[in-house]
Amino acid sequence: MESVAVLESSRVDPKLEIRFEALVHSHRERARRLAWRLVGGDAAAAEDVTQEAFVKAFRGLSRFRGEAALETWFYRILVRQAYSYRRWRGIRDFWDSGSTAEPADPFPDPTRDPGLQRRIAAALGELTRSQREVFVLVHLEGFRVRECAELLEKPIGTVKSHLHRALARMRCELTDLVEPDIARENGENR
Amino acid sequence: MNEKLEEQPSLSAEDAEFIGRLAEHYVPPPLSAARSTELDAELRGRIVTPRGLAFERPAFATAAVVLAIGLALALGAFESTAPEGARPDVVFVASPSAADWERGLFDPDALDDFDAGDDLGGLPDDYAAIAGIFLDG
Repeated sequence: MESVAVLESSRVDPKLEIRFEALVHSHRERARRLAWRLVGGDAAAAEDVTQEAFVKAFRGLSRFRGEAALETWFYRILVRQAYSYRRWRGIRDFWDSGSTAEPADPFPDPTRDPGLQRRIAAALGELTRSQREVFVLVHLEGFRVRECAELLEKPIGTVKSHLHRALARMRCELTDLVEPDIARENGENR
Repeated sequence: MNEKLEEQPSLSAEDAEFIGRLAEHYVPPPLSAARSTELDAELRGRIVTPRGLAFERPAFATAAVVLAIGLALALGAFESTAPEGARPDVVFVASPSAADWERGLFDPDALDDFDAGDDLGGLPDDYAAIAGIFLDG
């Protein structure tokens, strides 16, 4: 991968710029995966959201005060950007004769079951914004509860409560994935 | 902070298996090297700007607004020709032209566009519905 050129801003500490550059390199893939999961499995949208989040983070670098880790600060921007995209898509779908169908993925992954991915995306779509965000961050992305709380600027107890409810709803929506025998069958089919 | 509260949520074996399955299946397709390079170049093009171009835009906009307000205030001070003691609270409002009033005599609906208080009136129905959802919410 090409290196990201040195960023320019007279108001930003050069050390911070170097840290940001390193963050772009080391977190790009995780950021894209998180965005993909948050926007409902749309690869093109995930790329846009990730790029936009990096640009916004860069432009706001002069306002970064180091109260949170740079990574936390960036992921906060990314999560908001993903939500902003979902909201925009909701309005667009409403306008497009109320269709809520997900756009076809231009880069389908042949090693995954697209039907199952759509079902998981739909189940996540049924959650509230907070439930979806904490579920994806903690359960799917492996963020610590404390990190997630800091990232979403919510108390730890609230994050845990959202996690509990989100898991219960996801289990309800995807009952067949909870059943051991069906799960085993899915495992064999893979 | 309470250490107990910071602990990760404890999951049953079944829940852990369920979540593991979701995490395993719900992943984006891998990014090709070519696409990765494209994205990297695009990002570099967007964030590496000539000094001051991207960063100074907000400052320039703020300065322009301040200048415009200052100019408006200055002009307002010099253009006031009202004699001392005159009522300063004369307000001019947009009104239909004479031709519109005449048209209104024959078609009362023709004057509906002059209802400045109805912001949604000029929107197409679908836009008004969307705006209504957000304004009501």
